[in-house]
Amino acid sequence: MEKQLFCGAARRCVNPYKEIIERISGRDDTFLDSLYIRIIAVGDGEKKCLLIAYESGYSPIEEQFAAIEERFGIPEEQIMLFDCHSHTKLYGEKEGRTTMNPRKRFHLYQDWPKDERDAMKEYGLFAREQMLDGIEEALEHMRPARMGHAKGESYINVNRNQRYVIEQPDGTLKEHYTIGVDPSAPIDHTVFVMKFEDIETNEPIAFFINYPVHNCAAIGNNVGKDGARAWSSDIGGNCSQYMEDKFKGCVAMWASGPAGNINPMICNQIVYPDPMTGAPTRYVPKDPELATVVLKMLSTRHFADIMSTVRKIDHMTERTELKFAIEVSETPGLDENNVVHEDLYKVRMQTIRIGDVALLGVSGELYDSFGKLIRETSPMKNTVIVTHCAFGMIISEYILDDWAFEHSVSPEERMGMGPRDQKEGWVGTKLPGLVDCIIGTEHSQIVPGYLAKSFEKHTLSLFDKVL
Amino acid sequence: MEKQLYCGVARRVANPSEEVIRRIHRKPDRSATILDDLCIRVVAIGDGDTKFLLISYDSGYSCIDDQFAEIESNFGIPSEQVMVYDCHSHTKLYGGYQFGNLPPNPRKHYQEFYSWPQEEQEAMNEYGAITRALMIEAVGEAIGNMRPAKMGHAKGESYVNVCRNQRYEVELPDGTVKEHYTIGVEPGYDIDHTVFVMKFEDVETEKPIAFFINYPVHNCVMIDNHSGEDGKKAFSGDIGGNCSLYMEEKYPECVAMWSSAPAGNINPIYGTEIMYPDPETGEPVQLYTKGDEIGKVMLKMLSTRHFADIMETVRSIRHMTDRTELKSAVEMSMTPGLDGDNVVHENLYKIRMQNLRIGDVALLGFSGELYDSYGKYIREISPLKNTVIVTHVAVGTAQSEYILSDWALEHSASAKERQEMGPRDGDTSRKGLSTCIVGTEHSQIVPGYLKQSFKEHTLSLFDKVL
Repeated sequence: MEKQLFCGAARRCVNPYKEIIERISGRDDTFLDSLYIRIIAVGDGEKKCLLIAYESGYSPIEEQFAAIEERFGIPEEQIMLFDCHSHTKLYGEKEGRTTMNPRKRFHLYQDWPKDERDAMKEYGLFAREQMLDGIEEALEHMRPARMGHAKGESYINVNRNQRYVIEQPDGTLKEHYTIGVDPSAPIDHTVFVMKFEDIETNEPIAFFINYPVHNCAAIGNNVGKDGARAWSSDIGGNCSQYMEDKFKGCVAMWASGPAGNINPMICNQIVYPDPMTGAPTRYVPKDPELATVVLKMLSTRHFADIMSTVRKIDHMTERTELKFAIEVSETPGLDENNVVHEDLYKVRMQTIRIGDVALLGVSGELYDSFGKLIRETSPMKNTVIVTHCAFGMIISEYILDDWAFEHSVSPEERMGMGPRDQKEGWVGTKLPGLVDCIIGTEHSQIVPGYLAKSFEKHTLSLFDKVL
Repeated sequence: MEKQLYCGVARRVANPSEEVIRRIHRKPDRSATILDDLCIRVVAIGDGDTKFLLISYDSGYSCIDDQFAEIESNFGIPSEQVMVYDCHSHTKLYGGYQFGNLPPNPRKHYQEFYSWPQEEQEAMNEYGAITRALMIEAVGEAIGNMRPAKMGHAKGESYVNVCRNQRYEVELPDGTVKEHYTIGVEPGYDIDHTVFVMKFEDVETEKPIAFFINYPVHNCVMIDNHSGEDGKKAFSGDIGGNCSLYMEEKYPECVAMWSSAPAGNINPIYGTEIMYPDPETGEPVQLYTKGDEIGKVMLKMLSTRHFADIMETVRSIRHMTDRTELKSAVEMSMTPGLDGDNVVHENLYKIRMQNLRIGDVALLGFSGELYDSYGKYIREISPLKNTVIVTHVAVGTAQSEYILSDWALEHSASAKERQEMGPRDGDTSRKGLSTCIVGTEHSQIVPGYLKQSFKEHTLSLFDKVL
């Protein structure tokens, strides 16, 4: 690594504004915290790469890549653009998706009121302009920098696929797996922090933080007026803002590690086993306090763990090497008629190597077990997996492992979920409830048995290109 | 084990009356709202010759000497054969001074019963007399309905607990970082998650008579709740009490008693007493909840999850036997302790240790809040695999309070800082919850002696009961 590292950063507030909010049902102008787009531009004197984190406003990815390349000449391969996956934000047009999963039969963008869709499109355009503006600033501010990183631990996350033992009316027992908490399941608790600082001033320019948790402590909150859902960037966004308050002028972006099956250890979506039957039971809080308390409790604890990790960084270097590669994992997938097609299920995998760190982006909600497999397969010790990366043109959704399919309800039951439509072959009449199966299995296109091998193959191939 | 096992049970609701509650000034935020019934539970066990009593208090625990005396006088059962314990709900009421006839800990400078208003002391004593009468009545009923029984047990796991001694990295004004240990959560710390369930069932009907449940957690989800009328604090049996009630609802006529295993340093994973590290400085900050729902939701979430784990454990019981052997022993651990002036005295710090052997299970009771590390050590050296440690047993026979490990005393604030905490001689500036590791501020323990003492007494107690 012989080249000088350069770094610049910027952020833009993208809170949905009045004219947008008015057209989105169930929302008002209550903000628990502001929503941002953050940009870190990294260079080695020849090449540049962009890390772009959306807390809100994520719109169709092809248009974002095209706009960036047109304005700044930076190609897709050199851009890691991801959503931070707050569950209390707003997407741009079509929720950023230009391809639809034909097996998904509920929560479909095209079924929403036109006014709402128009508002989201308008908001997405606003957010994209803010992003481009932020990129320009980040590129302009690039200066010689040093980089260091460390790993720590944070215990605010939990496996969310809970085993319920349900007593049936005839006295027999049935195992049922669905949303909840399974604290005994060994999941990853690693928090990774990469710090960039100015060579001259020694002041932090940027932090890149990665941790495996669904960013959903305030999910379904009723903190807004008349019980409306308040906006929040959730745990990740709050930690970013704590860092930015602490080190004025820096930009701190938070990214989700593999958390397809990982939730905060407590959140505003409550499911518990009924004491008499053991069946999962949902409780919807009426008082807004739980959401705000949980968000504060978890984000401050997580931030203390992040700061502890920052303090562990014991080596900073100004030398770097930037390399990039993209591949697409293609494995058998199911269509809406339950027919298997070769190479139908796709996951975009992207590697951006910054010195001795490899950021490996995947275009969906990767399960923890796959994250472990990829890190084990990778030849680089500091392989950091970023999820929700460049999703939209490829619909990977929940990247479920074989265990999830084996332990969710049967494929026949899952196929039966979802509102009936006019299509021949649709059998589903029931909108799946939150606790009917392991989340995501109800409409997944994945055919079990293929992903691990494909991830191994593409991980090794990607590292052939960036090492 | 050649003798026939017998078992009988009874339960009494011991909710404080409004008349008692309105005289409790010490907690001006206390309401008369009872979220769930507070009970006294009695399990009587016999082998045809000897009888044991297990007695648990959700609320109303009173002077232990009076309790033992009345039990012996009414039923002829000596204290060695009676395991009386408090379930350690933090939203109950004691029946008088919890340390009974013992003088107050001279190092404890706050929450001293004898400095409370006379009316309040009287109300608590009155409540204690009521609950003691209820307990005696229940003991009579439990002994009266003893019948041939079978017993089985199993161990499972439950993850509603967490180490509560959190490490905070506090940034000082000069930019240096200081480690500070106090109340919070430390989920990375390896603690015990074992739930133990012992089940007694009727030989003839095969219906459950009783369950004895043991798990290491402070029974304190509702500690700072506002779930009572006008946002005041409501009464609750907390996680343990709710699990007992769930089991009793599921198996009507059974009695299900919950007991706390070593949890001196273990809290529920969340509760209404919330500490968080300030994002700017890292120092511990207390977050006060305001609404009535948050406590109830947390209690529901944790007690239902814990109960599901208990039921899973019940289902894993593989062997029931009607044969038993009952043996009992009591010893007193005595190690050096500190007086009010910081002077060390030989044998000042005392812990009552009681061993009740019921067949292949040993219930080992401690008169204080035992730390997890001691629990682990005692189970390791015990010759009986099913050694179940029960805490808050016969509190008042010794001033054991928090049975802190050497680690806690080393990582808390300094001994000098701790000695200066609390109102002494008119100084009312009591330090806050997060000033040190809870319990170290007034502990009489001298580090370095307890482990050896526990080893000697554990082995000696088992010499007597095996």
